[in-house]
Amino acid sequence: MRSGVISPRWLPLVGPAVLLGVWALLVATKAVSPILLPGPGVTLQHLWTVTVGGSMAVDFGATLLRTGQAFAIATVIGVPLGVALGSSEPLYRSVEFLIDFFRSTPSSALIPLFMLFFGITDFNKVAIAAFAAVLVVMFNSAYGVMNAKRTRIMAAHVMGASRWQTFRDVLLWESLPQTFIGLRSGISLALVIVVVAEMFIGSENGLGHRIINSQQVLNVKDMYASILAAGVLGYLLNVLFLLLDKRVVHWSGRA
Amino acid sequence: MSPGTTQITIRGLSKKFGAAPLYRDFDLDIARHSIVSVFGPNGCGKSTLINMVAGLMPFDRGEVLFDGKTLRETRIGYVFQNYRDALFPWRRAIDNIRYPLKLAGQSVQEVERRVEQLVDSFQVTFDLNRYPYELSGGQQQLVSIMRALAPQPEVLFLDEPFSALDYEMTLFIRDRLQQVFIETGTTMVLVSHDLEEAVWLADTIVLLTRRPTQVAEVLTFDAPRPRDIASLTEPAFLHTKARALEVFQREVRKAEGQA
Amino acid sequence: MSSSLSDPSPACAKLFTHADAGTAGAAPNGRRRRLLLGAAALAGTIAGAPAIAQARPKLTIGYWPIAGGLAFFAAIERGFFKDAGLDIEAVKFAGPNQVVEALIAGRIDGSANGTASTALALGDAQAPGLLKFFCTNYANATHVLDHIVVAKDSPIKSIKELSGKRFACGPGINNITLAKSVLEGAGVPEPKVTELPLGQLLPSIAAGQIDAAYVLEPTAVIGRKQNISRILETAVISKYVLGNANTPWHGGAASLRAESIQKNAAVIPKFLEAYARGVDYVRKSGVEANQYLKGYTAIEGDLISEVPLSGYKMYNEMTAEDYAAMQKLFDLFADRKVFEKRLMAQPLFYKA
Repeated sequence: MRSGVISPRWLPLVGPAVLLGVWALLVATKAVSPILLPGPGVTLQHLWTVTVGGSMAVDFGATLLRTGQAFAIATVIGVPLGVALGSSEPLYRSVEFLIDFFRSTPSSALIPLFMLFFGITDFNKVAIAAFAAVLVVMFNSAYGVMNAKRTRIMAAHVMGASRWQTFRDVLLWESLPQTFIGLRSGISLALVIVVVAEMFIGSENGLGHRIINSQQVLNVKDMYASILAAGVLGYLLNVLFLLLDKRVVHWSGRA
Repeated sequence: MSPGTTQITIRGLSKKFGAAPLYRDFDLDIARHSIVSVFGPNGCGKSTLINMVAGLMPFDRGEVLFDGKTLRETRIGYVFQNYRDALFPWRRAIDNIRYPLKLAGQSVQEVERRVEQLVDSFQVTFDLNRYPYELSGGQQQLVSIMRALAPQPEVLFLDEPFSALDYEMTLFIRDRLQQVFIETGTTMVLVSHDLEEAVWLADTIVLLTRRPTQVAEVLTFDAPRPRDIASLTEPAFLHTKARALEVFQREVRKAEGQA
Repeated sequence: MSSSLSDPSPACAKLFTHADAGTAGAAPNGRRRRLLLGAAALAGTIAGAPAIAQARPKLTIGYWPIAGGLAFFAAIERGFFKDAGLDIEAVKFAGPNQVVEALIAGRIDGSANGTASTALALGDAQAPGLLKFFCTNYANATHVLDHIVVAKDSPIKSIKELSGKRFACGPGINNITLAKSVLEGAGVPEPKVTELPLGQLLPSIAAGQIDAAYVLEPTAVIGRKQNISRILETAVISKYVLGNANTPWHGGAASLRAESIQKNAAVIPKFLEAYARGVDYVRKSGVEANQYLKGYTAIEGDLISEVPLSGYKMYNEMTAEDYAAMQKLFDLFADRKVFEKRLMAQPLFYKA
């Protein structure tokens, strides 16, 4: 393909356009029954209607709120803990197995355990998502501190910085790029778990609740519109964090 | 300014890596107000030496004193070969330079005054408000040197400061460094793998043997400062350099383990 | 070669006998005999192949692994379909919705009992004429399935006392709608029902997080055996939604795709007959039939003897009262906007 056929500005739109095209084709040729998979036009129109009408906003907002809460908890607990663990090798080694174990266990498998502790309140969904996210955040923060450039630490030492000053002025900053990677992964994971929890633990609102309810009454238009909405939410969160990353950790990848 | 009395005394310095000793009862004196170059064959531990003296690497036995004081009681500066990894990229260049002064608890006025002094000394023309990664390699190393000199250290250690730079920047920084030395007389200990540079900058050239490392020979180069490019062709320089090369090659040819 | 000779396809057998007869009486000529036998075997296999295919048409039937499907499981395991010359592939699904989706997509020919009749009706509403019910599984006071349970030591004595208490049911709009209707019908105003994963209902009762739950068997049996819960009331749907403890709640149905009925028109009656034999066996054998729950559902061990049996009604056993009861259920779902519009029950049934 000749470069310059499509101006670079429009390139990011090519992928989605192709996807929508394939989707429309699948439905038009009846390769998949339209009862089970509605066409993109119909779905997008429905999405528009329910967004403007307000019902989607309620569910979108509920999922966003739960995700935000889970993420906030994960950050407030995970970053300090992670940094503390990363600063002390013996401390890290003593909990390394636990972190790796819980990190590898699918959160959905822990649902019964969470329901035991958090009951049937709405908070248990936030709790499970927070748990999954805190491990990722903690792990990355610890990693960031452990991988701080030795030369920088030595430079601070030579300049007369105490252990605390080295920690505050070098280690913490050094670990920020990796910590931010953890935060970005954390919020994506929190969103996933929140939606899954809304679907399978049961909830009164939220995108997951909407998806599973629509599925059960074969309202496929609403189901796929909700799925798209969930995708949009995930995408927006990711973009937000990329922007944050660029602004706060401006040196990442350049030093 | 000619070299004064002894400032750094190294006695009985010993360091082992694994089973093989690198340094065994190593002694060296470094004179005040002098530039000392350290030069030697591969693996003789030139960087390790200044790292041990500067307190960045522990040693097994021995004593290092600065005017009779321990390292902890002494103010030193250190310039790393890898300027990228030494500067703090989250701080602007000028904030990097301010850092050691802030650490020492100086007032805002004192800090600004000193920074202005340095900028003047080094004839800095680029924008110090930029972040380090926005500057060129040479500019970053210059900032690194300024940061190291900011607290007016008693001794400045430099570990191969020019090896990652292009020639133009190297010449410029060498020149500035010499100028700073002339103005302040700060004792400098420089590790270099470039013989020409090691001689041109120095008052004393310490040539090391292979492991276990000892001093092979100490050469003096007392051409008056400021030295310039013309100095590179003067007989005194050429003679000293030739002698250094001779010693170097002699040591290189010796098998490891021989005294 | 000997294996194909032993294949008892009728056509193959005929050829073989001919070849045999041709040389009977004559002096055995080894090579000629072997040639003839080989030709016979080859011809037989080729000729017999379509005959083999014709003799055993295949139907793919989806099921959700619960006790309601017992008639189907028993029919397979006791060889009723084989006797009718049918090959049945039983496909397990994770939920009733998946069964309905598979029906719509044409991946299965039909569903066994146990799949919710309302879910199937929804599927037909999307694609009118899609399927036909041929057998329902029902519950009432005699064929128990639905209960309201409370903690073993709970002081609660009647459903009315549940007003303001914490109440849960299994997941899905089907369950929620029924649970709410039951509570309202029993005199609990504006009931609040929490949705929980099935596996969480008993633990939540045990942990004191909820006061009561709407459950289906075998959850009540398990709760009793584990000393977690006791039954507060049984056949709550029949009583409080349909109005009478004996009125059957046709909660589940076995169905066939209309397209599959057409395509396999010749063998459908045989299929239905074999299925009816399964139903008959369950009716006659009682609890002994539960042995066939093993392997198809998660019910096994000492639970098998305690799981109650569903009632069944084949399409030709449905009475006017049965249709009315089912219609009442459908109308409830339409009123609560689960169905987008009113759906009629009777036309959904197969007619021979």
